[in-house]
Amino acid sequence: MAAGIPIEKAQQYVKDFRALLDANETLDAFTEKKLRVELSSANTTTTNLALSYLDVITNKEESGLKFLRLCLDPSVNDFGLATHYHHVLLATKRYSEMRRVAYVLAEKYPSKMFSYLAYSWAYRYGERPELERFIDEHIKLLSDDEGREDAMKHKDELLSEMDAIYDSSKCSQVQLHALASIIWSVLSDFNASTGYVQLSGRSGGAYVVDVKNLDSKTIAKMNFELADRICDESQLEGSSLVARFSSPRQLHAGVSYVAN
Amino acid sequence: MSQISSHNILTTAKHCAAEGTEAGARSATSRAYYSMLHEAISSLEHLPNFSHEHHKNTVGYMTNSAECKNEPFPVRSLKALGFVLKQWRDARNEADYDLAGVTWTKDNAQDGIEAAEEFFQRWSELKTSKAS
Repeated sequence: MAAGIPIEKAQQYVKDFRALLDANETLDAFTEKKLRVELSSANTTTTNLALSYLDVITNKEESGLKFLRLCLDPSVNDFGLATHYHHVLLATKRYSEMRRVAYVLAEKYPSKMFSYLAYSWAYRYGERPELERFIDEHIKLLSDDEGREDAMKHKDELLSEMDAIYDSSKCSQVQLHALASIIWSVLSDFNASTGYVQLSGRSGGAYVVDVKNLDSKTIAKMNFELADRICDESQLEGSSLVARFSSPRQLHAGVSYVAN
Repeated sequence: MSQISSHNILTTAKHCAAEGTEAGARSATSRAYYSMLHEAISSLEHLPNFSHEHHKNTVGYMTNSAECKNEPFPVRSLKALGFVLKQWRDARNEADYDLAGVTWTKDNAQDGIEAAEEFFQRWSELKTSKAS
């Protein structure tokens, strides 16, 4: 190669930076500068991807996301880039953006992964038609060995839980949407990784999110913050809906299928 | 007159959690909720003497500005604390009634205890600022 860096080396950087992101680690300024100069000597998809991860792990998330968001452009068809984009959004707890692009990604890149994400966000925001649509697409892509039958059962579980929260609370979709927006913004602000998300008809309509990476003291603070923000939301005035965060619960119902 | 206080109930919640069993963890969540409910009831100055549905009516009183307007505390603070009570009533219902659908862990129990500590702290701040 006359200029730039070999593709294998750039791929290794992507792998290494991604591992640093997952471990919530960063690089010192000297190393960052050296790597930035090296990667900038070439302008390929892989070096740009490595630079994006480098930006993200060195606290320049917006800059890193610029290149990754190209996967949403109608003229770009790059499933790999889309999976990296989603990975960065998840690692940086950008839940609002994840929710905003979930259906777009599922439509643009039909796959088990993106249909799973789309139906998960539809459930979290109480959007029944989208939940049905994307879980049906997901089931179509599954083989028997991948748990197709369990996924069909899970579809009924999710729809019934969503119906239960609406029936019990008599809330509108706008209200459930407002509640979900507050919940996911608190999760982002506390840098929380989530486990199970559960809608139920219990207690006049309950929305519970398990938090995997924070201790009970922090979860308590999150619940008070959630209460403060919900009380400030005029759309939820008089609603019987309740929402809370929990340490991971070992659920035995409503969890027939989890996508891999 | 009994001298038992909301703090005694929270202490019992901690004993239950320390038992190290699932039944203890479930009881800890339940006791932690009741400690919060009693802290609210004993702190409010104009709470009506409800004859039924004490839980629901106490939350309703705290979250409705027209009902709690005579309290010497900011309405907004009472509303948020009322919502926290709702959160823990839901957790308590899950812990007490849903034996088959969920396994209750020591972390789930600790969530309630930490919430109660924070709840007591918020009430303490409210009562201090009222007195000053």
